[in-house]
Amino acid sequence: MTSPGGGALAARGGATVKRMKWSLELSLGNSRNRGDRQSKDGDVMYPVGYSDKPVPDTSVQEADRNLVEKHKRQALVCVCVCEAFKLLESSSQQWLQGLVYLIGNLLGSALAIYKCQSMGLLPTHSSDWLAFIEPPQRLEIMGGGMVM
Amino acid sequence: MAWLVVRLAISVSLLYAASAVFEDQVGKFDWRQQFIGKVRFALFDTHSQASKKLLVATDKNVFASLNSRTGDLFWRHVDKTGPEGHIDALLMYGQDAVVVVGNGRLLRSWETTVGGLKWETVLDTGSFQAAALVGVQDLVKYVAVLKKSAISLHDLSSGSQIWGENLPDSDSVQYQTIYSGENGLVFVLGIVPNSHIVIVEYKIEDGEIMNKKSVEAAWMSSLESSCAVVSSGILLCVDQITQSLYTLPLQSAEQTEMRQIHLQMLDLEVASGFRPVLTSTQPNPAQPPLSEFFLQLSPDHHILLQFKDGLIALLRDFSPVRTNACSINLFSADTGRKHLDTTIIYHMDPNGGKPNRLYVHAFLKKDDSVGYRVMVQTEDLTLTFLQQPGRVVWMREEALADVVTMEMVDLPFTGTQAELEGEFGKKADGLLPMVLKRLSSQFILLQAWLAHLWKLFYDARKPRSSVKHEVTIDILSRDEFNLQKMMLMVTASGKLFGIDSKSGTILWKQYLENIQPNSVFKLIVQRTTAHFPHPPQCTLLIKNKDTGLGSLYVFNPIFGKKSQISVPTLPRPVLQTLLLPVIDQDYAKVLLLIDDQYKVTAFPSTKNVLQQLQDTASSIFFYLVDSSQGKLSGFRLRKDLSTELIWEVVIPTEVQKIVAVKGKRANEHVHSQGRVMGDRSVLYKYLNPNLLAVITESTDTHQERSFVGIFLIDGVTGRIVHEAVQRKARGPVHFVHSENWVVYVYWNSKFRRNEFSVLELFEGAELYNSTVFSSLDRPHAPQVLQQSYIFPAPINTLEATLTEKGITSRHLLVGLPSGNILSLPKMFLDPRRPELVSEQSREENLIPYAPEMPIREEWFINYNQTVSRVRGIYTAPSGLESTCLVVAYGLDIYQTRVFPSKQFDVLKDDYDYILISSVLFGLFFATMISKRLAEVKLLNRAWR
Repeated sequence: MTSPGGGALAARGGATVKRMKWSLELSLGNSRNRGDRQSKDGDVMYPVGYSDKPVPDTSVQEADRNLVEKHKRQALVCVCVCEAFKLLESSSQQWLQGLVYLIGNLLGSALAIYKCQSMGLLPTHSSDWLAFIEPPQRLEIMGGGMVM
Repeated sequence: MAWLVVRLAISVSLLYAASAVFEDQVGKFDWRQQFIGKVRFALFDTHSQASKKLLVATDKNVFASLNSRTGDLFWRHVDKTGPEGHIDALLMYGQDAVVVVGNGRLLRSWETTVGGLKWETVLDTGSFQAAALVGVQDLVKYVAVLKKSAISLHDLSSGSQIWGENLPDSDSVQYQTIYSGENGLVFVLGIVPNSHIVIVEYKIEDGEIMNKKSVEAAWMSSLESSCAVVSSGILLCVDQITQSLYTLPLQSAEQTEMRQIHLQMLDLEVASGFRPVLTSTQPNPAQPPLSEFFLQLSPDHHILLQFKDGLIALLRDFSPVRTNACSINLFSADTGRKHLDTTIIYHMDPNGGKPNRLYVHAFLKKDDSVGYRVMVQTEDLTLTFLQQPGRVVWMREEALADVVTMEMVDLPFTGTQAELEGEFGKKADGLLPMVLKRLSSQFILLQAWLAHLWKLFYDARKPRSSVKHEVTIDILSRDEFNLQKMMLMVTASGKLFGIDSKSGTILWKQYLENIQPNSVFKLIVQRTTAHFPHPPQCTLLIKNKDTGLGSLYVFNPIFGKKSQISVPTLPRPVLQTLLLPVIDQDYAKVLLLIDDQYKVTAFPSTKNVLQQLQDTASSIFFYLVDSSQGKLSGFRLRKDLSTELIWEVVIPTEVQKIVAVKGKRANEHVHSQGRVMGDRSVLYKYLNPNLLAVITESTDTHQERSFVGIFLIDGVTGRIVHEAVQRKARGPVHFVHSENWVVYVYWNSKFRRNEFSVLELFEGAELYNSTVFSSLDRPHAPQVLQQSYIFPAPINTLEATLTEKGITSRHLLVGLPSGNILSLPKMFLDPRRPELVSEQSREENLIPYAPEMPIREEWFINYNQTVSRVRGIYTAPSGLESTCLVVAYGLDIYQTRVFPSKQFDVLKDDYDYILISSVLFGLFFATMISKRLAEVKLLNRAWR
């Protein structure tokens, strides 16, 4: 993202709460160098086709926002527990709630393991590890046969 | 429950329903070559000019007709092996070929065009002496058969006996030959050695003795070897000691003494110590023999002589010529003069043997000049058919009818492939040079690919017939999945062959001279093609049975060239060999040869090898089995390459004798160390690499008391792991020893049927030691399970399939006497097959026990390409885990691929590439278009 365009838009975004048509693409991060064009156009602040009219339908943007959120969540899956605890920070019975949360999670996993076990999906039998046994090494070399 | 069993059986049978070859797969990856063996009699079909037939009878008891234009077989009849089917004589007249079989047991007449049997008669007992066609007034009507004490005359068109007469004084006189002139008489010639000749005249019509006379011939010991009938009934004999010829008219009643003609009168002399041989020719059996005959004076000195009016005249002297190329000339028998333009130069193959027999077919051409064709048989059993002017029309390698042992060797990489491989082997010398090297080798590959494309394009423009798919050694290289290999075949005549396994083309051949007929061969691959730039190396140990001495022949299996490596001389008889996994600095595996004093010779025996041997000597063991003494003995190698006896097992020879011993194949891999039970526990296999299966047969062959024994012996410690006895059974026993099982076949003499028995060894639910296997540390005996089945056919040979990693399930390949090869799933030979089906056994996919083993036609891997007298089956793994290469050899050779678990790692032949790729492309374009449309739509919506 080029700095002049970005800066200009950021400033504008901060100034007006209204969503512009371009904001969609910028939020996705694939700029089409409109900023460049703007800077090339010199003093013209708004590009061709810009209108101040607010966009009535924001469902597309909503969807996009959700998408971004999702990505973020996937990236932060490891810190999810911490987030859960962060939500509880304000609570007075923080530790108890944490414990309940933990027990709930453990119960869930136990249930899943039990289900897997009952379906025979867990490698708990010796036959499950059979394929990993390497053939034993020979200590003696032997050969021979009938007298020729 | 019964319903359940039936359902299970049906489902199992459905599982295997499609294991046969599809119709369009015929000949795609399999080939068969048919052979006949060493030719003993060969006759050209001369009754019509355009005939292409050549009738041959061979020492393999095969009677066949060859196409003289191409060398292919028109038809072939394979008789019983051994003396029972031995072809004693072959006579031909017109469309009929008369054959005497089995030491005068049968007289058969064959129709030569299609090879149909016209008639067959059983002859009276008595050992066969001679047979001749008997003509009456220019027409051959009868065939006369002379036995030791009787003579019989048979009608040529029906085979019925016209008359049969006992020969007079047959206990003192040895009747040896038969002759029939044109005058309605049959002469039987007999001899009392070193005393006199007996000549008996029979009347053709009723077998009445017309005349009987004896002629003094005190010098003569055998009639057959020293006499011949020439001209119109003149008996001609040659005597080595007096150096003279004797003549006697057979018919004249008054002359009772042989007339002597000294060879000196003809300026001839017999080479000292050589027994001269007379050869006469009778082109038409209804007419007397030619008056010209050959006299052989020394191994390569022949004289053409003529008998005329009681005098012998010399026509031509064929003195020996010593050159590398032989020439064949046609001479006129009347004058002894050479015909013009009839010379054929026969180039002897430097890797082949000397020619030892000629079969000539001379004929008159349209312009009344004489032409001829000739079939040359050489010592190495090559048949070469030559036509004027010196053109080789075809060749047959009949040595391949008697393959003794074989191996399959991987083909080498091409130069470019090898370079690419070599790149990984080298030490890294900086990043940039490595990148450059990689780029350059990739560029070479690209170049080779472009050249290949160009060749394809070039060939595609030519008409299909002119494009030859010839295989030569130069273009041989390993294919993607290592399916094409080099087959090394060692034949009983001492000829080695290198055959391309894909097409069956003989790529090289090498005849080893001076091989005794009863030699024993052992072929060992010491270095494979994996060690570029070292050439692959094979060693053939040839042991002479008479002297016991062995010799080594080291060669390159790909090119067939003899290696320059110095070979150890073996002054003492070799008892056995042992190929060690120890390699020398040139990557050749070390071969140990054990002599009769139990001393060991190493080959190669460089310093490096000897050092390695010293280090590992304490873990090298070998066993020897002496069948004549019933003794199995185990030895351990000492550091000074001598040996010490560590165990001995004696099986008393009065009761039983050892017939065969087999260890496991060295290149066998077992993927799974155990078997999963129905309750998902594991039954671990007893995988002892040192285990030997020893088969014994009882010396008592009475059907009530005979038995077959099997011993499983550890080859290192001599411990008998298991023994089993099959009562009321006898051999021949065929068996396979592999993984943790032994399958053997025997004849049950009580129920008169063939039976399969399978032994499987398991360690139990726990492994004793999962990391190393040592026979010296095995406190627990394995669990042995056994089951037997009825097999509804006799068996010639048995072998198991083999794959690269041993993941694929195993099949047994059973060679049947009918020539079919049955691929029998090992699943059917499983001692854990339950008699009562339970939940667990169903979980394990065990087939319920049924005593009868099925034979299904679709299990025949060679459909209708039967292999006559299959003697051995060789299996080799390929680069594909699913595929096993199979070669069956006997009188014929058949090569194919088998897929015991179907082609699980290969796309099917009928895989629809077009559909899949069109769907893929369609989806791709649809995505592109819909993406574009979505963009447009989005933009439009945004503008709204």
